[in-house]
Amino acid sequence: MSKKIIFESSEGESFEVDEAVALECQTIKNMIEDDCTDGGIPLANVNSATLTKVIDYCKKHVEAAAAAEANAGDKDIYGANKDIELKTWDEEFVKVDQPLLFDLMLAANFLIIPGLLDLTCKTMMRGKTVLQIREIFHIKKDYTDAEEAEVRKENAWAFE
Amino acid sequence: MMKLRLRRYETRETLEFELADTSNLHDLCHRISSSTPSSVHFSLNRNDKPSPKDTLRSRGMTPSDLIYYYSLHPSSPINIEIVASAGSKRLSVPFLLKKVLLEKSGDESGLTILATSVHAVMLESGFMLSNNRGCFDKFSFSKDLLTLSLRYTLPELITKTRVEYVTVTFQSLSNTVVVYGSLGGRGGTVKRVSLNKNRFVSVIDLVVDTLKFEKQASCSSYRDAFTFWKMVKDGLSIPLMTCLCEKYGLELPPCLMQLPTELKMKILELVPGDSVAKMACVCAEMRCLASDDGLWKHKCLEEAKHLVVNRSTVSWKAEFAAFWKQRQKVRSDMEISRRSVTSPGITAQSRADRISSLRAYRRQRRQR
Repeated sequence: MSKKIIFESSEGESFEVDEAVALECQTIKNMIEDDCTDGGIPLANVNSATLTKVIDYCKKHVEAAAAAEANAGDKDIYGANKDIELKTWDEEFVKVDQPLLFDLMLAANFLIIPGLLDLTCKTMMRGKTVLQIREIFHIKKDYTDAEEAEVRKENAWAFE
Repeated sequence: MMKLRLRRYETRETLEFELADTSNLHDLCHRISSSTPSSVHFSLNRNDKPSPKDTLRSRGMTPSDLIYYYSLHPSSPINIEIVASAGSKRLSVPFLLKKVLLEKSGDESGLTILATSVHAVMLESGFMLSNNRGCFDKFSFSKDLLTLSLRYTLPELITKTRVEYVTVTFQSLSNTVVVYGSLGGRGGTVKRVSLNKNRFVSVIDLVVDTLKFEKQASCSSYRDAFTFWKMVKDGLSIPLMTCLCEKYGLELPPCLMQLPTELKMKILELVPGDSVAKMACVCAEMRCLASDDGLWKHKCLEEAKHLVVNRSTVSWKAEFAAFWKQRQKVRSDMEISRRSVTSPGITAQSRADRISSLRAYRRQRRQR
């Protein structure tokens, strides 16, 4: 049996995970190294729904890494398949509603999970126009028409 | 034993109770307010006043459920609304489903099913249903109804003298239900989501029965249920909530501009260069963040290492822009040459010519 680490969400709910899973978070890794994880780790700024997703992500990536290691000897098509599978899994994973996406970003930033932060940030703007970005992220246009024309001209190369 | 959590709408303060499996509502009242248990009221819907003797299980509560409650005024009875649980099993969706399960009135029309599901999403986002008199009721439909309007507000706003609402209107068309959400009177913001009956009604119907869901539901119906959830939440409830919160200076739901600056920088670092330029066009704050030349040097390094070597440049952004333009040009040139290579002279015209000449040749042969 591996060592267990207990997380506590902002709602006070407890989540028990394997140490290996918890180690995916740099912040927690440091805490484990400093040996201050007894009695659970309170995560006051991560709610249960987000924490569930974060743990899901870490679990999957630990499993995938373990599987990759087991297959390290024979680098065949199978290994590549695993890679694709994980990628597809990641893509499905970030198909969440927006508040949750931002909560995930905040959690990934706070717990320092580079892969998750990368994943959540990269997906958000892909192939969107300026108007769409404003609409989707509820951003108010604070430019005058003249300013907008200017800034668009300045960045015209990105629209070609 | 079953563990229940009760959360107060207004304060988000959560209480935790452990009760025996056989406990009834009366026991729960005692636990909530030991001095005046009679001040606690439960409501599942208007016509269903649960008896205090009902056991918790018969009311659909299961261990680790999260129950919301609110009180209208400090002096008035605590009103417990049994909303679904946000169990840790799977994210959000069970919440939606259970909510729908509890609300389901037995009416099977597509409009009712989709409307209750949208209602569930609205509640989960943090809205509460309110009618004209400022009371909080459940709704019921008549079968022939083709449109339906619901009004929602936020718990933070119910103490205001003039409560502001968002109105959600459902309109049933042949195979879609169009949902309009609006804030304020004429000229206010309007959000619109249209939901395909064929696609979603059956999915929701299937997953409403949680047991059936566990056994039969395939991955795809789970995905469809989630698509529904995401469409309504991102397209309707969160935009409406953002408008309402902005109007009253309340804390906004998590959104891009609310993120700490450090994290916004991080996002710009991670997205491709053209997205950074597009973000700069979105608003002044982003333009400011995206003008950092260190960021552009990083982008140059990422996309074109050769540019960075042996070069001290005045503007990395200009450098990147030049590189980007050049690359786009190369790409489009390649695209053109690829097209001309794959079709060496086989145009529609020449093809038609050849066919007609072939026909002419055959005709000649037959005549001979």
